[in-house]
Parts: sequence; structure tokens; C-alpha cells
Amino acid sequence: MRVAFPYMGDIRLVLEPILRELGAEVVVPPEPNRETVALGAQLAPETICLPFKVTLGNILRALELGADTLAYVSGSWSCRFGYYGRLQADICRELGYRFRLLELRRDRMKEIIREILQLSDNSLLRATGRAWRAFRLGWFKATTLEKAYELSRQVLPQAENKQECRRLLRTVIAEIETAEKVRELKQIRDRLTTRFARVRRNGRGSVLRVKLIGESYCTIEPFVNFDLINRLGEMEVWVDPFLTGPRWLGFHGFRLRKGEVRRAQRLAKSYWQYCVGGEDANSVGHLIMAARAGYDGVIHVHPFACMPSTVVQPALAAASRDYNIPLLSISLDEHTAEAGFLTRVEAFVSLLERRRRSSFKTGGEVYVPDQGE
Amino acid sequence: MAVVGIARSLHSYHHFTLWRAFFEELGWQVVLSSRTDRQTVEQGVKLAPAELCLPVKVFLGQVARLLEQVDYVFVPRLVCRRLKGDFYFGCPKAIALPDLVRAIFPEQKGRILELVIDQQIQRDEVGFVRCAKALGVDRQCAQGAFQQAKKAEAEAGKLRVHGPSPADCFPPERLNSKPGAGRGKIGVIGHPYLIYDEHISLNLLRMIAELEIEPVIPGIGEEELIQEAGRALNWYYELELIAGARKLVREAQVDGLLLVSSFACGTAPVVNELIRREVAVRTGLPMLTLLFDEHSGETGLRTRLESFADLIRSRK
Repeated sequence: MRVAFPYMGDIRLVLEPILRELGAEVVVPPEPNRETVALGAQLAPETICLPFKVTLGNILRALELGADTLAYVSGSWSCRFGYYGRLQADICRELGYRFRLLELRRDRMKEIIREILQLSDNSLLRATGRAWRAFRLGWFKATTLEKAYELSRQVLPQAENKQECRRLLRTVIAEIETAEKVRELKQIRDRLTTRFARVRRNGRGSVLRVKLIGESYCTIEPFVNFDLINRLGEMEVWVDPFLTGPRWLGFHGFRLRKGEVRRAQRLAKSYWQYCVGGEDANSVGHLIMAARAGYDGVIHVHPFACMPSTVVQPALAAASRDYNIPLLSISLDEHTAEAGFLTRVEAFVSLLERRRRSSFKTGGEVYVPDQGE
Repeated sequence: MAVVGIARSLHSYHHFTLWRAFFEELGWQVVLSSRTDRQTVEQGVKLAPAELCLPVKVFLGQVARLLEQVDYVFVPRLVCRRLKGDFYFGCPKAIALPDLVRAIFPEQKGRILELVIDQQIQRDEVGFVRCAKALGVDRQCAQGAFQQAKKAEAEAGKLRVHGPSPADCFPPERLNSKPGAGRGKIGVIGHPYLIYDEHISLNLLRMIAELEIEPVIPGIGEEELIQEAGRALNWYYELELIAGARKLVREAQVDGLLLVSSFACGTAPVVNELIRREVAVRTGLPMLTLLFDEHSGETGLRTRLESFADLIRSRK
């Protein structure tokens, strides 16, 4: 079985070792690029959301590389995401590719378990052992990655040489990718703090803090959000995304940290009562949490015409008004130009800077004293 | 006696009879908002985020107008229905409608009357009872009214002569479509709140009839919908569209299919793609997709329809 799954940020760094340990051969397509997106956009229905087009282009590359099984999270709910697998499979078959579609849905858990068993020649003992090893490795990969990202997000705005910090992050990710044993990962993880601490700082005491919320694909995949987290870091803004690749897998794949999700949804309750998809309730909840935690602003990214993210916008705006926190909402599609996107982000950042300065003068609520300027 | 306003858009085209009967049974006066016009659209466009689909913008425009006229505005939340054991959902916008309205009219929160239809967690009756509770009506009264309303809905269904069309649920709605002189039939597939709204769809049906082509709109009853359940789609109101397309191809001998949807409608790309694959490609029927938004112009539409009509005639 040569299995491929849709590409989304760094999820492959966790998912690939898990599947490999389970006994499957994994085909990882190259990162999304202009070509694959153009290919996806050409074949996809015109007004479907951006993640569909990006993943379609990538899945086609994976099929070219010889994948014979496509694994999709899918299901019956209101958001279009549930239809990705079925529609993309239809489109690929029309192009002449032959493969098997493996739909990972909650009502088909039995089939999925049978599939995993088959990979281990139907030996339950062997399968259990493999599964344990797989998830243990996946867990350590995810937590190590998560810690590396977190440190990099924190250090980058204050680094004297931004490239030094970004280089370090790239090195660390490469190390995590090649690490095969839990022991190695633990070593990497333990040394992360000291390694990032060694990056030279520019001495400015405090930086702007921004929360990144929105639809998961746009939040996680640097190709579609123009590497927003690092770009903001270079503008000396400390970004805190509410969702990262490993966290997405944790929340949605394995139902971890339900408490946090529930807390966000409880906070969102007075603005948003039914969760429809596209991380709508979570976005509202995290906006409120960010306001309470004294963040300077919130950026909401979502694909153009994403149903839940579009309809949630008035609620986000209402919450941002009520909690007095600036909000920038940007929709992305395959035609979004980097320059236009970054101009809007830069304008938002200077708004936040001015806002912080003026509230400092007037003695308004400032959580981190601005010593640098 | 207070007045409850119902917007003439979205799923009112499906359920107006039921909703009206329920409130009237409780002794409330029901006001249906006036037909969509330019002002409704303009107001909706001003209120809504730019990326929303036109029908929701129209809905918001009508709610804004109703808020000036009535005591309470009825806003349904159509989450989920059950067909043959499977759950079928409303589109995210239909599910989020009350939240959307409350976020846009924050001062009017108390005047929004919310009805939740979610057969995952409760029977429809419970939803109606809760809705009536907000008006201070007790449980038994509300239950009785719901039963009566259900009866009224069933009766209205029986009275329909030309097959169950959602537009029949409305008090006299002129379709203005004189039957064509047998020079071809076009099946029109689209949400009723698009094709029956003469302002949004720019009088599409009449325009087709003027080309001496008969527009055929499939009426899909509950039983037919159940037949189609279990297929590829998990949206309730969109299942109706696919069922309609299949039925038209099977029974009505149409010469072409017209898929009507609005720009930024989230379900349309998926539904139209499925219909294209399943119906049009397999049977070789000509198909035209029309997208409507607040900038649609009549001339452009007429040109496209005329050439589609020519295509159909040349194939005959």
C-alpha cells in the first residue's frame, strides 16, 4: 500500500512516521507551489474554497509519484471539507488515475482498524505493538515540533539577525524529520531552549503580540498565508496562532485537549452557538481569550467564500468591538497577491503600534510596559 | 396581540405554511415581508460582509425592514434533519442565521425569535415549543399549535395541483411563466429562494418563457427525497436539487438543464459538480450554469439564455 494524504503544513512530519511505523509506504508530494495550485484551480469547481484547489494539485503530484491509496478525513457535516475526498477522487479518476479512496470517517472506524490490521498481516499482537510505537513516535515528533515553533515565534521578533533564527528553526525541523527514535527526539527537545536562547537579541524589551485565528488550512499552511507567522516575526510582532499542524492533528485526529476547545466554545457562546466548521466557534473564543490576555490585535485568515468563516465575520466583529481588540480579517484565494496581502498586514501592524503608544501615554491598559522605545 | 415577521427569502419558500400556521394558531399576527426590491438588496449588501451569498444578503435586508414594522422577527436555525437514519444538514449559513442576525443587529437581540430544527438532539416539536416559550406561551399550547400547523402544512401539500412546488407554499405568487409553444423544455434546477425571487433572478422564468421554451421546475416531495437519501450528498436542501435533476432527466424529457445558483454560495460548486458528472455528462444533455449576484445584469442574462435556447433548438 502506497498511501498519500492531502498536504497541510507540517502535518506530514507527524503523520508520515505514524503511517510508516504502522507498516504503510507513504508517498509525500512536494510542497504546494504556484504550479500545483494552478493545476488544482484548473480542475476544481470554480468557486470552491482554496484548500480544495491546493490539496487537489498536490494529490495529483502524489498520484504521479505512484500513490495507490488516498487517505482523506471526511464525513457528513455541513462544511464542504467533508466532501473533499469524494470530489477529489472523482476528479482524479476522470483524469485516468487508478487508486483506492480511504475515507477516514468516524462511522467507519471498523474498516480503518481492519486496514491497520491488514498492514501487519492480520496479527493483532503485531499491529498493537506497531500502533503503540507509531503513536509514541508521532507524539514525540509533534511535541518537539510544537516546542520548536513556539520558541521560534517567541525569539524571532527579538532576534538581532532574523535569518539566524530562521536558519536555526530550519535546522531543527530537518533534525526532527530525520530522527527515527524517540530517544533522539527527546535529546532534540531538551536542547531546544538553550539553542534558541543563544540567538542574539536586539535588546528591545517588548514586542507587539498578535493572535492568529481563522480557518485551519489558511492558518497552518505557510504557502497560502505567505508565511505570515515568520513575516510578522520579521516585523517584530510576536504571533501566536491558535492552531498549528501538530495541534490540528491532536484536536481533530485524536481528540486531545478537549478542555481548551470547550473553553473556547463556552466563551464564544454569546456570539456563536452552533459550531459549523472552519474553526468558527474556536476563532471567536480565541479572540475573546486574546483580548483578556492583553494581546494587541487579532488577525483572521480564511479562504475566499469559505462558508463558516464568512458567516462568522459579523460575530467576530461584534466580539472585537465588545472586547475592544483590533481585528483584521483577510480572505485568501489563488489570486491573492503577496504584495497586497502584506501591505494590509503592515498597515494593521502600524495601527497596533500607534494604539499601544497612545494607550501607554493615556495610561490605558498596557500589559507589557514598552521599554524599548 | 403582537406581530411576528417572517422574511420572504431563504427557507420560507419551503416552510412558510408551517411557520405561519404555528404562529397564527398561537394567536399571533404574521407578517410576510414585501417582495425583494432594489432597496432590500442595497440594505442587505450594506449590512452583510461582502463575501456572503446574495440570498443571505437579501434575507438581512428583509429582516432590517421587518424590524421597523413588527414586534418580533422570526429567524430559523435549520441544522439537521434525519432521512432514513442518516443526518442531513443545512448549509453553514442556514445554521448560523440567528447568530448572524444578532451580530448584525446587536440592539435588537431581544426581538429575534429563534427556532432550532436539529433532529440530532431534539424532535421538531421541542424546537417549536422552545421558540414559543420566548413569547411566553406555555408548553401545551405550543404543542397543540404545532400539531395544527403540521396538519395545515399537509393539507396545503394536498391542494397543490401542479406537483409540489415550494412556491405554492406562498400566498399568491405569480410566476408569470406562460407555457412555451412546445419548442423545447429546459429543466431549471436551483434553490426556490433564487428562482422564485423575481428580483434576484431577474425574472428568469419569464425570460425563458418569452423565448418560447417551457421552464420545468421539478417538484420534489418528502417521499422522493427519502428515496434519494443515502447518496453522495449530506445537505438536506441540496439533496432536493440533485433529486430534482435526476427526476427531470428520468421523467420530463427535458432538452437542457439550467443550474441556477448565487455567487459565493458554498454548496453550489459541490452540487453543480455532482449534477454535471452524474446527469449532464452521462446523458449528454446541454447544461448552463448561471451565477447570480447583486451586480447581475438583465442583458447579459438574456444573451446567454438566447444562445442556450439556440443550442437546444439546433439539437432537436
